[in-house]
Amino acid sequence: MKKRFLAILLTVLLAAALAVPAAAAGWTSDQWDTSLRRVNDFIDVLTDEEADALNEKACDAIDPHEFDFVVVLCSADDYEGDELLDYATTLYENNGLGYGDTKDGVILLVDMDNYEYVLTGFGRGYYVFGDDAVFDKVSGDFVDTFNENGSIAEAIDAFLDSAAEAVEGFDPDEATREQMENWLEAEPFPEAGPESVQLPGWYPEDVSTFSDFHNSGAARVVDGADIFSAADEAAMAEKIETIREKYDTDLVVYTDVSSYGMPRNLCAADFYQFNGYGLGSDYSGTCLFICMEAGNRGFETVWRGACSRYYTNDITDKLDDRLYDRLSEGEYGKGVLEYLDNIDFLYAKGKLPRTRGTTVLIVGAAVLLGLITSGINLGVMKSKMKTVREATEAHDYLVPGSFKLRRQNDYYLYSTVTRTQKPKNDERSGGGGSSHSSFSSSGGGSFGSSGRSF
Amino acid sequence: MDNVNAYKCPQCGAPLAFDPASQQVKCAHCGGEFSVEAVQAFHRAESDGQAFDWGEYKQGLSQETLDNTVVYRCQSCGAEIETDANTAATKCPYCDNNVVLTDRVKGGLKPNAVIPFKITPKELPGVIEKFYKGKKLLPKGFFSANKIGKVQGVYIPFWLFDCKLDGTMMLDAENFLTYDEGDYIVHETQHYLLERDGSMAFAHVPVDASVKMDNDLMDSVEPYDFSELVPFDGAYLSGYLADRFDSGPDDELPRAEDRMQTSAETVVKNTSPFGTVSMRSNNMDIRGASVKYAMLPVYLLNCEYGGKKYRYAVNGQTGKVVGELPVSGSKSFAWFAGVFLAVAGLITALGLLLT
Repeated sequence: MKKRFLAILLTVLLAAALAVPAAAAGWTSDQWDTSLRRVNDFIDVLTDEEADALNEKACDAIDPHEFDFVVVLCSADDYEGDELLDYATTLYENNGLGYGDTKDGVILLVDMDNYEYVLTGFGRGYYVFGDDAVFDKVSGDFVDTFNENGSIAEAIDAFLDSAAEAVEGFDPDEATREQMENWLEAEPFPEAGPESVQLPGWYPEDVSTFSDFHNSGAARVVDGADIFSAADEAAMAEKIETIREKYDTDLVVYTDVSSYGMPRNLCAADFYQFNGYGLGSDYSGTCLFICMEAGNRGFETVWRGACSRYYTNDITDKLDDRLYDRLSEGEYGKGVLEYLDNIDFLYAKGKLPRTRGTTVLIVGAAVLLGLITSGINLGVMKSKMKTVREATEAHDYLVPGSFKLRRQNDYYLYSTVTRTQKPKNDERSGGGGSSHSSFSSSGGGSFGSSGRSF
Repeated sequence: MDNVNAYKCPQCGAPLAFDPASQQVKCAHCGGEFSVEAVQAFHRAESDGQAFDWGEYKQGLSQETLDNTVVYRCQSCGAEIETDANTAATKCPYCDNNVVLTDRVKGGLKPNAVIPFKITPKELPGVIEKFYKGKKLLPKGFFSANKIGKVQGVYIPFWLFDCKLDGTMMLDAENFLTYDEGDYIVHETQHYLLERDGSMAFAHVPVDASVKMDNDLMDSVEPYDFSELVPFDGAYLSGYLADRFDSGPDDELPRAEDRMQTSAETVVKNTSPFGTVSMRSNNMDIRGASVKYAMLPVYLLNCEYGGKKYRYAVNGQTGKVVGELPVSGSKSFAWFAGVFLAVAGLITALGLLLT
């Protein structure tokens, strides 16, 4: 389980390193306390006194350790349809948490409905809690205290003590120390504020004064990465125009060679909002962003307004799957044109069109089950045609009550045992999995997003 | 010709035949109805006191070797009747008189008991129709009258074994447990050795005693209700064919024992409290075996279809019909194709609808 965490955390770490500092971008969760408490109880299982005392303890530990300690108690509904680890990462990254430029810290996220938890480190914390012994010790202190006392407050208290002790006493081996030094040298962290990175031309000079507007004349296909042919672009523009007219919602395809230091979904949302896309009073529309930046290649679909109702997790997963297959093969134009067809079908039918593979699978399964069923049925019918069989038993002639046991012994001989590891609830489907989230753009718009790297 | 009995009507002297419906012996000529006992008494008087012997069947009886054709003289018309060595009742081919060959069913060859026919010939078409009704693969018109051969009621010789099985069985049993142990799911199989020592009794396990009769066919017409066994009387055979046994009880006991051992193993296995159980050793032996010689009623009929002969047997007591029916190739194909199209179509439709 821990190794799984580490693989995922590496991605998280790089994203954190390149991200615009969240607080500066005004990127906060609706749920998060604006005072940025370090101990947050979304479901009120702690008393106010307990929450305040623990929060104070966590805050007091920040400066001495130059490290952030965050605890969140939530319910399963808070991250419905998402992974607990993704939710922890989103909470940490989107709320300006973390100490210093490298955003050093750790977050303990506990799902009190299912008694599942995620413990994950960021920045320097990645190396601290990436150590097997440290991870086992800190998570063990938390779990053991809870199991012994049944008190989540005491368990959090134990976690804070154990985590602080782990950070203080962290003594990386030579290899880890070298990794940390290389990492710090290779990824200089920007100063706070969007002005510290090179922003795209469409980014407003003063975000705080930005207000939404309609720009119906703007191109709906912006191929900044120059990955489409002219014919493909024309076809896309035509399809988009048709969809806009049919469903009264906007559609934009945007490619670029960079996400300008932002997470891809934020870059896509900002592009959509700052360029005046969207139809109607809610600026309804969808933007597909393909980022061709080395090390950050990926695509992101962001949506806003009334069209959001179409984008369920199941739908976006399928959309991403199909687009991923094309883009990862370098078929950008074909992939996006199919994507637009899928969107058209989605808006018309509320679901995606079947792929040829799905149809073949259904028909194949139907033929197979049909053959099996008809074969069994015919076998049963044929067996009824023959009623002559040798008698092999004499149950009908056993004298009732004549069976008597004089001796009956059951002797235990030996046992054979096989053990199989329980499936992990927090295992993900792999590197190709989509990430779903709801977030606010830099301009304050509420967006949903889904996408993946390729 | 003392070995031939033609049961005659006490009123008119015409041939008599046993009637399953009334369980009486009837005269087709004058309509007279007589009890089996009355006919037997009349016959004793007519035959100068000669009667069948009655007594328990004794094992070790001297089985006659009767391989040759035997000639009898009909007491009604005087014609010569040829039979095989085992025929016990037949009809005179000249006067159609019912003839019981008494030497085949008396003394040591006399059956202990008989179950009289209960199903009448008139009931047979209904019984057979019920048998093939609902058999959807049956070729059309298979049971039409022109294809059914002559239906003949026959008393089949059976040995009925009463046995007690006694001894010990050793069985291997496995008990499956699944439980959690930390991060693991543990599957444990516990192995046991079971010992069972005891006894059980079987009554009237039937095995047909006729070599020429197909064993599987006779096994399949079971079960009979042996509470309706009555002491044997030759009058019951009148109007039917009958064979005497030509395979002795010593020869047939192994078949009965196999059946009893199989059932005994099932009964003993059911005493296991564990999930799976298999037989390691069976040391149950037969104790206190006894055997009865009984005549059991069966109707036999033949059909010919597609150049192949099909033989059917009807339990003359219960009406159970057994036999192999021909399978229509076109109907088989139609059913296979129909079910396939229905299932495949439904699944395809549902799949396309839901995706």
